Amino acid sequence: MRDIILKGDKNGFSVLMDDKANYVNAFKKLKELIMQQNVESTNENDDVIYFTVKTGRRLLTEEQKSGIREFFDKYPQLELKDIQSDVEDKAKVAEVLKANKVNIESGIVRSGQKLDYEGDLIFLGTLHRDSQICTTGSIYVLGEVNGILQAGYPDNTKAAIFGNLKGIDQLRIADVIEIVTDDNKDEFQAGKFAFIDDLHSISVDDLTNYKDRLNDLGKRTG
Amino acid sequence: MGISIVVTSGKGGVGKTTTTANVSTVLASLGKKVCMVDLDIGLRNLDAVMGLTNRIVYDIVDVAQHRVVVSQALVRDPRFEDNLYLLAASQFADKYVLDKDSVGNIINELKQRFDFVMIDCPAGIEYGFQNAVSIADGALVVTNPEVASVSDADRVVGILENMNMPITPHLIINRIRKNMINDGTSMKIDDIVNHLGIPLLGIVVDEDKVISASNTGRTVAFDEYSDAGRSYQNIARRMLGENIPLNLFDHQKKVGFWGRVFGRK
Repeated sequence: MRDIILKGDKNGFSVLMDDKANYVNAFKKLKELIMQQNVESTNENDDVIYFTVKTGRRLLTEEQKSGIREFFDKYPQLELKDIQSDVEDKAKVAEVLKANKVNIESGIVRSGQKLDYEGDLIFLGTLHRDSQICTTGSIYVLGEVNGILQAGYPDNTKAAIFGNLKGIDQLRIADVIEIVTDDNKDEFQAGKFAFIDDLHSISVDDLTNYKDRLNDLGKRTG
Repeated sequence: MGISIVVTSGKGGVGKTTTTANVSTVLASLGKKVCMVDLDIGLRNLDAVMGLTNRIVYDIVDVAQHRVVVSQALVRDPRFEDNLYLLAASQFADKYVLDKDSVGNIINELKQRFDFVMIDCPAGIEYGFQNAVSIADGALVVTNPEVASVSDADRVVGILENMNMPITPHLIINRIRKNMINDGTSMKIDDIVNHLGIPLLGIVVDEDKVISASNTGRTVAFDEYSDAGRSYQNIARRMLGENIPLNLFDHQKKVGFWGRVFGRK
């Protein structure tokens, strides 16, 4: 197979670099290819030609990427749109997986203890007064909660808190804090969910209405 | 080799020292060799409750700083033959003269000689508390049936759980007011036990006799007409593995008219 393939579509040209080829050779071939193209189109009135470099299952280092960018910078008629790869590096993947992870916690969270999670949490245990649970995603409460629940930390307004909210002291979603007092504690019962409404304050509704609300949540958050 | 048990609560004034004194004396009367260690440096009380203040010559700080050996600092309680000793806290030094290593060495040495080393822990969860709980094999968590006390006990249980002691912490609910239980205005025993989630070792009613006994340097456990005393007896026996049912309802039982006429003790 050839080291590089040039393809054209309505968005411009794509250069496919074979991921099995030696990178130095492939880059050399890319340079030769572009130089040929350039020789053939020297008319300054031509539109700018867009290029996308696709590296397949190869992940370029920052040095390699800047090498390609510098090369394209030499040709004012050619513009490098993007350098794309079919793969992601492990750290980035781990981060994404973590953010989408569903954690499960049982047992007692005691006064003075604070648990932090990346992603969502299914809480089966008991959360005592003066303790706190903090997640970047949503929280589903199947146990008992008396302390403080923080969902969507620090700024995920899509997050919500579902389930048994009876007896809770404080709910926090993203940057909004709701204090449960004698006046509003009747709203916080089992089978409810709390979310951030259009006015950017915390609302509580029956779990049965979640589907209707989901639409609102989806529209707002895109 | 014996075991060391710390008596702790987080909150002050719930009855740590009284519990230490009573449980220790009952264990001693049952033939166990017991050493009480007061770690409440600067605010020592255990010696006063036991009526042993006048016998103290050296204290735990003298031992930690190698002025005397442990056996020289031990105060024997003459009422319990050779079974009960006290290692007093210092009333003069401040608590930072002790650290985990020096306390640990002393407790380990005492464990060689005694069946039970009962450690009276200072209130709070700071330096003195950390010293006391870090070297103990087990813990008695004392709480009162009130929100503030239970909340502090909760905090303490959380810290103890992270320490993975060989013996799980046990709960003693102290100063239960009979009239409030009868009125239904007190926190419920079952609720407290469920909330804290550790095994209940015993409950003790609030009684004037507890205070009057300790004012005279005795422990209420040997007053046969005292409910609190009987509770301490039961607690100590349970620690030795005896299976004594919790007499939760004995305390609440109302004595009817005929009971009052014929059933009087």
